[in-house]
Amino acid sequence: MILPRYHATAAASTVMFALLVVAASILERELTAGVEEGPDLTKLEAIEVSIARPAKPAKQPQKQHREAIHDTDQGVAHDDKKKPDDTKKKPEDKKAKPDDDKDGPTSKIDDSDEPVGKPTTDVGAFNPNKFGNAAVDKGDPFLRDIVKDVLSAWEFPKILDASGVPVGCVRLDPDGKVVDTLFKTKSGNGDLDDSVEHALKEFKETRNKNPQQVPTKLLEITTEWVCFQFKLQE
Amino acid sequence: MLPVQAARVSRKGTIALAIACALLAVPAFADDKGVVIDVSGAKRGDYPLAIPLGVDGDPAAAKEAQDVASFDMGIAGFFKVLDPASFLADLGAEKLGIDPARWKDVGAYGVIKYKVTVSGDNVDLDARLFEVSKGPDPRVSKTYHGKRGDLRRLVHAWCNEVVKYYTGEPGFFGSQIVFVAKGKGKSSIMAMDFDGHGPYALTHNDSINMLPSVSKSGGQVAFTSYMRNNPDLYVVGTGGGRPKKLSGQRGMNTGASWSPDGSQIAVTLSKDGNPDIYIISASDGSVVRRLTNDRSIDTSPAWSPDGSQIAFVSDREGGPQIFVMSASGGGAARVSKNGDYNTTPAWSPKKGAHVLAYTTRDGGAYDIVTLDLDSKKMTRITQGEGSNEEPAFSPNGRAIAFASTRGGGSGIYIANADGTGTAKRVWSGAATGVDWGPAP
Repeated sequence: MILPRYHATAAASTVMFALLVVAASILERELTAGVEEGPDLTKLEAIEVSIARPAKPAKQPQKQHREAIHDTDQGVAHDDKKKPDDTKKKPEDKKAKPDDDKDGPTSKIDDSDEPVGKPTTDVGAFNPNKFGNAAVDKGDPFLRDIVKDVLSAWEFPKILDASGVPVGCVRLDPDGKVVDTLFKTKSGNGDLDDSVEHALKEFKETRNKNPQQVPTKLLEITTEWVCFQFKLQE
Repeated sequence: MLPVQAARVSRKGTIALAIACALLAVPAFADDKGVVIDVSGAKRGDYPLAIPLGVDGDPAAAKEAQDVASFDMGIAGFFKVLDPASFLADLGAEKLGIDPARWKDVGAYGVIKYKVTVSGDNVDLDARLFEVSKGPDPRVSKTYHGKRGDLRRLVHAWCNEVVKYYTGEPGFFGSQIVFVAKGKGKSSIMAMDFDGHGPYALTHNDSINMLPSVSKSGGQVAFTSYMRNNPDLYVVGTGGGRPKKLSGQRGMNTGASWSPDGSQIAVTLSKDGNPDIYIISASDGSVVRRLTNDRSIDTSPAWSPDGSQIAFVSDREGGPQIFVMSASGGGAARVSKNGDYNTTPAWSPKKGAHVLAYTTRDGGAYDIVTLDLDSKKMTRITQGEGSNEEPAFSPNGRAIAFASTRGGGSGIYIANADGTGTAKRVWSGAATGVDWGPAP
């Protein structure tokens, strides 16, 4: 049976609408990843003293390269009749290729997987929309030290009771200084939230008086907010 | 089915299909999992409270009110009174209100604002309590009227309201402490406000007067005096006056402790040859019953707040130790297990508590400890600071007054009953025999 025109139109509209919804979801995910609302905390896995992150593939060790040779003896010629100096060969702008002999005799070449030379420490710029998704070593002393300092700065009056779990975050630079703090999620209890704000402020002041450099293996945490879930009871 | 009806059904179906498609699309793009660091177990400290100087009104009265309120809140046991020098708020602009942000900046959780107006011999106190996190509206507002000389009492009453707001029970401000002031060859029974204000003598003789005990109503003080060359038991009104001899039995009539209803007194009598615990009538001193009957020395009775038990000191197992027995006598059991010298028991009046404070000797020094008779948990109230003796609980059980000879100077001190904080001196001089009257 031939569908009435408006039925066909309706069906097409339905499909279009579904496609638009899917597209909107994708776009929304891209735009809203790590914004104020951040990841759903109910899905978060709380770890005592470390930030867990997905394992990243190890970088391939980089071999040393010899600098490309550039012959710059030829100056700029103002004589348009001057013939090129053929006595000197035009230097081959050799493509820099791996120098297998750099370290001398073959026997000295290290075939191990250890990276040659200094590893790169460029972890990228700080992403204000990224929370707690950095690589981690569980139980790392640096992170344990941070937790200790945050706890030292956090005080709540003994005559008050509160429920809820506020979340506060800090941004560290590679030198270990606290560059900024962020109160991410309120608990709903004003006194408890105020205590966390005070704690973040005091942690920043105390830490910046004696910053500890972020270990190389943890540098990625400087590209994101490091967040803390404040639980009143132990 | 008619074409129009068919069209309606079909339209609803397409809408439902569209919604279903949309719903199915969403879960596939849920947020990725992430983690945060747990920080558990905040330090539980005192409540930061700001008490700025009252603006407008009488400046001298405002300063007096600030001093009294600051002392009261500081000794309550759970407030940290902030230094007014650190305040950032514009008090003149705020007047009796607050700008919460300014107080949050200095770390205040609570703010007390007040105004004292003096008119002739009359004084008006207008006071407000704010919780910074709850905004600019006061949580408690009270006004008081009285004579100019009543200002301290009015401020104490306001501070009791503040404590009641936070704890559900009033404070002990405005109560009285009685004690023995030691002099050369004599000792006098004294009474004063709990904060040391206005001390006055209850005895006016040149003899030895000791072991005062305030009745639960607060109207009378029983004490032992050698004014007639025998340690007899007397009773005097807390306002002063002529003491009345209540018990003049041969030998000792010492260590009175009032029953909760004020009708009886537990006391040590040695009329039968040995110091033992007796119950006598508070009206005429007649013996109601004997509670202990043994060769040991039994002294320092202390009646429990619910009237069912009496704690006392006995050397029946060697040195002086604390025992607890039924108020009807019998079933005495030793409760002090530490050291070889424990005396002067006092019951906590805190509702639901089964706690004794007493003096213990530890390596030559005397200190105050509390013992929870149910959990057996012992808490040290003093340590390493001179000799500290004869504890007495505040009416709400949150503080303990005691006599001390510590380095800061002998006198009467008040400490938190939970062992935290630093004791504050409220009276200077050689003292003993401390007891704390009821709430005002």
